[in-house]
Amino acid sequence: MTRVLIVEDDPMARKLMEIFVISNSRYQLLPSLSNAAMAELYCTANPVDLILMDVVTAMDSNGLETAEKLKKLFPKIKIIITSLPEYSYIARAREIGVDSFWYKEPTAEALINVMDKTMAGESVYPDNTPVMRLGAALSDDFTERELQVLKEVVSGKTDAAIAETLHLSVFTVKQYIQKIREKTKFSNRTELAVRARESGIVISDHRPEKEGS
Amino acid sequence: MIGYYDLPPSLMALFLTVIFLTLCVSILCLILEIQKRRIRTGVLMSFCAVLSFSMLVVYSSNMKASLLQRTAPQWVVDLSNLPIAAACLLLLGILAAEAMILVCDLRYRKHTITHASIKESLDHLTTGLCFAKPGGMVMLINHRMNRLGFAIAGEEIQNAAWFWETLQRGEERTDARCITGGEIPEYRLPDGSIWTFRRELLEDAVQITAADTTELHQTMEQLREENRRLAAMCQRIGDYGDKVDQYVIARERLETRVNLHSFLGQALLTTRHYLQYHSGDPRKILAMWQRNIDVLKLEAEPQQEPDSFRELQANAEIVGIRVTITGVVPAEPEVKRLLAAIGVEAVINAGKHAEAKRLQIEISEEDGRYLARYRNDGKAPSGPVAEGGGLGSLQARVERAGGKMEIVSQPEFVLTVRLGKEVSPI
Repeated sequence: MTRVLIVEDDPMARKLMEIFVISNSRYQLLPSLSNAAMAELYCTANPVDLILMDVVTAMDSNGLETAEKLKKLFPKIKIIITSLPEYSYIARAREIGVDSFWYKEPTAEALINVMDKTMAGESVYPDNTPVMRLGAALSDDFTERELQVLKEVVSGKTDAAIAETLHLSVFTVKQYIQKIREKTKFSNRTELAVRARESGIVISDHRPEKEGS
Repeated sequence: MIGYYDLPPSLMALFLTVIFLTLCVSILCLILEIQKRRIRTGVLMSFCAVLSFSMLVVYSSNMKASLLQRTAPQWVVDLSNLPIAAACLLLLGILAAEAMILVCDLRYRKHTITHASIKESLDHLTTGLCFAKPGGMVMLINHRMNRLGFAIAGEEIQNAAWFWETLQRGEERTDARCITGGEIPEYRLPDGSIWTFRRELLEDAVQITAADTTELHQTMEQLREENRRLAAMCQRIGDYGDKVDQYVIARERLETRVNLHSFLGQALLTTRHYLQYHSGDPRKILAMWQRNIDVLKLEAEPQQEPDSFRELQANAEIVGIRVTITGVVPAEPEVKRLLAAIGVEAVINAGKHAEAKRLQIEISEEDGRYLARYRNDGKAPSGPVAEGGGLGSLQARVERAGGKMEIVSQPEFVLTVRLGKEVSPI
């Protein structure tokens, strides 16, 4: 029986995946985590065969970073990245050697199918990222660098902060933002940031959950 | 034609005296100028020599003609028949030569740097400038700096060292107002202009400069205002983005629920088909119903508000470490998130390196800041703990948030974090 660890911070999605896994007799569900970083410690102490890993997890842990560590420490553990459609995640997942990639869908069959294939040694990746519209442009119209800059703009950073994060000059950042605005035909930066966030073309790594008291 | 000797003796004497005196004064002045400038003026010297010789000829001929005719030597030129026009021409020639010398002199003054020209040009500068001995004795100061000294210190600058100390201390002796003192003092004068002073130590002197930075200040103020506006806008974008993300999450959950309800319909249809025609795998149908029931139960469960500390404790429990949080629970969401993120790293370190089973987080408030101490019940580190890897990135994150992180490894491992109440989202 395949021992499955789910790392997912959204309670609804986590519970749903747990239900899907439990419903299949070939898989044994391990206690689920909402924080990716702790998966490393869990795998050190417990046998795990397959991990369903979200990208943006609770307490600001990045699932892709943890997956990279896990692949080095435990190469036998299969990892499936579960994510919303975002331009950069697939490329990053391939780069670090993640076994499979699954865009979250609420169907048990789709997930179990990816899990089965992965455990059989197959690498399952979506053919391409779904094309999304942003103003007058499609997600395919942007270069990778432009999407990186857009991701930072969406998180509310100033040009100087973006320049520091991406190791660019402020002037270059301004040029990228200008190019993006020309492609999308948005009249100002605020509109661009708001629409980009709404479209989901880029996802901020900062999880915006409201804290309970 | 009237000859030179046709003139009355008194006029001849006057004529000669004027020429003689003019020549003497001119030659004297030339020699003095040449010596003062220490320059080689061969042409002028030759010209002086020619003029002197000419004068000697005229003078001697006059002597021969009038007073010493009988005793004069033969080599003396007899100018008894010299026309008066020639004498006048000689006088005009001398005057022309002097005019030429005067023009040369003016041209020289214009194209050559002298003490006076340096002072004059400095006085025309729009910036203030003062050169002084290291002790403060002023060597050179321009009008602008003198006026500034008067406007700020109430008197002319007699001692540059004293004036600089006055600026550094930010003293206000007049209506001029100090904006900043220190190494680069700035003053606002009553007319609204702003002057920035700098001092530079030269080899054996001190240079104080004053620059009008009024326009720069205005531009900087506009820029600061723009930056404040931009920061506020970015903050609003960030806040709005959080709301959008929450909205997107809620929408996704709703879509999930809608889809799940369609599974319920599918289960009903499959069951009906099985009951009518006895086709299909009953175990699959049962599993389908089990899933549906689980989902319906999930929907019925009350949704808890996300809480970083609760998440930390729940995750740590799964990896085998019990986290206890005591003291003050921060009300600020970002502080709580950051402390929980540090808690994650503390749990991982406690599990990996100390084989700990418990992690204690004590939070208190000191001087309006939070103080959090993370301790575990595991083995104490054998040596100093390196702050690389996860701890290093956390330290950088805490510092970016305006806080401080310290690690003590002996006698027990204690990680201390000090954080203000306002932490920007990181």
